[in-house]
Amino acid sequence: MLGSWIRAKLAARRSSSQYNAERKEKIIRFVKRFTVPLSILLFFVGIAWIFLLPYQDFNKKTYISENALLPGQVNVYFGYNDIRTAEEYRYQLTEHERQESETRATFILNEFRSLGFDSALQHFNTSDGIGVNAFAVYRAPRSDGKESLILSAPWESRTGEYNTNGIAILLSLAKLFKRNVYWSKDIILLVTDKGMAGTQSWVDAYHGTGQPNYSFLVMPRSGAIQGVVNLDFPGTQDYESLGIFFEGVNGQLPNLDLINTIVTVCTRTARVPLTLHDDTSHPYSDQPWGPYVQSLLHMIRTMQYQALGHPSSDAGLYLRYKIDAVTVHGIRGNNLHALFGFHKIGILLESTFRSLNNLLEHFHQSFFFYLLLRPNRYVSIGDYMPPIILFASLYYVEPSTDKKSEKEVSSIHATSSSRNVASALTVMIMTHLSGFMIFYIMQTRSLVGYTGNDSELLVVQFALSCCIALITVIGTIFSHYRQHQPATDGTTKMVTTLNGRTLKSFCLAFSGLVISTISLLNFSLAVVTAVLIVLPYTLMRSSTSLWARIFQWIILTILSPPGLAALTIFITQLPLAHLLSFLMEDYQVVGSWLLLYISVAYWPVNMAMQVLVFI
Amino acid sequence: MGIIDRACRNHAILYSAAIILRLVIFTFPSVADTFLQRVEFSTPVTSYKRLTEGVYLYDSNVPPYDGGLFHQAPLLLSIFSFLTSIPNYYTIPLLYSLIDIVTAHTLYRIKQTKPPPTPLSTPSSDNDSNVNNVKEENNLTLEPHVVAALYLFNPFTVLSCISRSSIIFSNLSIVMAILCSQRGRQSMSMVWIAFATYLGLYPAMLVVPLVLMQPSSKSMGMVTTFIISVIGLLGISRWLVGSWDFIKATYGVILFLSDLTPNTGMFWYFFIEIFDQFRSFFMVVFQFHAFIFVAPLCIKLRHQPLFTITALCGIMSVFKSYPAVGDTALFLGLLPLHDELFKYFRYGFLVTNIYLYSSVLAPIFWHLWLYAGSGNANFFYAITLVYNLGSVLLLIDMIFSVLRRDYDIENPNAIGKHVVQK
Repeated sequence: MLGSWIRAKLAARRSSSQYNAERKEKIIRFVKRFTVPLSILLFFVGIAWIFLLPYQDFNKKTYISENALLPGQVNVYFGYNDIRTAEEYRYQLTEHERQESETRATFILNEFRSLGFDSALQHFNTSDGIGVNAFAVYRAPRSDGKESLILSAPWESRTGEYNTNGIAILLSLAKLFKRNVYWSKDIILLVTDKGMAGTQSWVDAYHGTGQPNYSFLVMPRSGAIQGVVNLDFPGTQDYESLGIFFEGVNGQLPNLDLINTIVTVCTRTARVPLTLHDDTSHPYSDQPWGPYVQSLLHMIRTMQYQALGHPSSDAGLYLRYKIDAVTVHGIRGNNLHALFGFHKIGILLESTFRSLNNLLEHFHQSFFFYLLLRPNRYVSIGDYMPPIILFASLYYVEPSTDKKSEKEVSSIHATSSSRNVASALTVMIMTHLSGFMIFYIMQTRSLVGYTGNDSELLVVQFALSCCIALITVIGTIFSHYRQHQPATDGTTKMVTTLNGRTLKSFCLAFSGLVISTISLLNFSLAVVTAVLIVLPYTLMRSSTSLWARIFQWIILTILSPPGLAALTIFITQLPLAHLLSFLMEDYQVVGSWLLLYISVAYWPVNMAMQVLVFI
Repeated sequence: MGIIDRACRNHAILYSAAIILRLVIFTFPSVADTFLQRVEFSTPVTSYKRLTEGVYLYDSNVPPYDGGLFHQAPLLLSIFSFLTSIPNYYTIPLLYSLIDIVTAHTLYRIKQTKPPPTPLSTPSSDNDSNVNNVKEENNLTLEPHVVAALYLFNPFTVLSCISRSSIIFSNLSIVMAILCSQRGRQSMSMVWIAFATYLGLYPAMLVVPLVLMQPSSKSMGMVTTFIISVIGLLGISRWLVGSWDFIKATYGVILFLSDLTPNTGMFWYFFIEIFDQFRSFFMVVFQFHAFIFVAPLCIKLRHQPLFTITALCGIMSVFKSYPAVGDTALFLGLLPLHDELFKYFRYGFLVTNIYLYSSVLAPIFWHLWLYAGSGNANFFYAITLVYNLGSVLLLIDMIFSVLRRDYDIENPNAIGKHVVQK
């Protein structure tokens, strides 16, 4: 029955193959005629899709995927004595935290030693002096030293205050951990100095990949790190709600199960109000679209961190080493009732660590690619990828139709069309070479013949990069004019326009490639790039009218990295040197790829498009 | 473009540009070492890193094939044992660059000496479109120097050279064998292909089309020459390393896939996943599958042995047990020899994009699998499948083109028309 039906269909299709070829031709002609409206339509469909994601019906509720975790199902022992201990530590810390790095680290070291841990200090160099990390390894009685968990706290909180409560609860929990025998993984207690540089150098040293100072050869170690909870509880007061920071370097995210565990423990055991990041506002909470707006804001915040490739907290640095990590942050809002303090934080952390202790293997069950909209709602990769595919495919509408049109022409101008491909390829190669040069110039720490302080040097480097970009564009344009005019005196115009279309196809195809491939590494960066360039690049035409040229050139200049930098400076009122040093610090300390991406992928296409406008 | 065109015509400029490009990349040891370790370029049986380890063992009088690490031919061992004793960083890079140049020049000579393809005859009722077709055919032929340049500046070739993968030696031998065969030097051709077989086993399948290139009276002699050369090479190897262990360590590994390091092929993932009791059966199926294509291709296209060799190189680059990008580089290098087929190609844009995407995505998925930890082996395997799909599409397109062209030669009236087989 079904077989005969399929056979009949196939036969019908086979007999109508002649007709199909015609229809294909028709479709191509249709697409070609409506390239521009189609591109705009597809672009807005993609944008609308992204904005639909925070809507309740288009995302899902999170769930614990790894059954071994059993979050919130243990009796917790964090009691009155531990609260007292934490309060005592808090009192002591208020005295010590203002001291020098070395002194305060020694205080922590002595505390660890008095509790009986294998502990040490780690010294490291940063741009503003020597920092000292203090850490201890609790060799759990039932562990074989192959796996470990980390409880860490920086000296300074993200709010700029001292992380007094965070370190106090860390020390108190250390005492509690030591008291119990059920641990099957070692626990590393870490107090880091100098913000991200401290965490980064500790992780590097632990894995033996940092700058070669030989203290890391003998530092106490445990096994592979399975999970990290970073504490950020500023000041000495109580908190209104708990925020989770999870974004890592280059938009990497921890396994969703780690976040799920903390969320479950928070809601079941500790009963603490929970939010993402440090956002406690509830806009339009009396309106039906209130939840939507809040989800959207959370999503935008996440995408902002991801697109910049900047970790949202110290925990984000562990992700590069395949270690899942989150920061829990105490938020002190305006709301003064129902505050929570050491008791609930202690219960939360103890219960979380008991769950992590249950892990049988590395976190792998749940999602690595997701967008978190609220602590318990997520969008998975299957739902957020379509717009990016749409953006990237939109770039292929034009090249593929262009190619068809070229084929029609090719019977007459076969050689000239292949020459065009070659020259467009040369333009792309030239702009990419200058992109590599820009990258090389930006990342060197000293320029020959120039001595100055860091920020001045950065500005000079940036100015030099802009000059290189400008020279590349102008040089390419002129070299092409020189080549084409004498060769074809009668048909100059025709040759150059064809060249422009080929070059544009190349630019668009390359941008499509970049957007669709980068989306796998860093979805948000791909979205931001797509939103910036998809429409302008699709609509650009090489034109002979002066005004059109100038208008397009202005748009391209705004979209080029210097233009974007100027725009950012205009909006945020930050000095250029500050912006650049942020970028450079991310590249050098944290290992973010944003600089590489901008100079090797984003800028060259922009240069090629500028060439296109003037060809 | 005029300048580049003129530069290409001049061999000295073309070849020195290629050498300079390679040496410039080699001057950044970090870049060269990155490619050295990429699984896309160096497989267990071609890796330069393993070669140096083997050479070290060989020089220290430790049997190099005992450790289960070294899987390359003993002749390479002795050659590199000599070369690495020269205390200059640029010896090896220069050698590899020169081999690429020789390969390119051989391709140039092959293109030069290739008999012109049978022209398409114009049908009796000649109208505009057909005149155009003939004209186009004249326009689209590639000059021999373009063939050489396309090989030399193909990113796959350049990067494979940078990775110092020893696949370059078998590529050279295959190309040399083709040239010798084309110029009528049957025994030299067989010696070259025997050397390629000795290095990588799979080129043995090229013996059939190479024999087909010659008049049938010479067949027996050629096959005998081939067998004697292979036995001679094995004998020399036995003499060099002092035992027959190398057979198991080289051809045994190629045939039975005991090293499951990921590569661009289909074998590794499949044989990681498969249950042990089915392993031998599927091993036979997979290896047989790689060789089976010789028969249909050589029967159907017996009058175009050069094309058959190209197609078989493509098939090798997809279906051999340890393929690398270097194999595809040879395939893509041989492709421009058949420029008369280019106008029949239908998937050019698609194949280009597949190659582009897979070469960008392969390192990304590798990163996601091994460094970020957010992906897994399926990611990388999926992209190698896509890459091989690209090669297979290109093969299909090639074979379609050659068949369609043959049809057009026989039926000039059908040129430019839609033909359906029923």
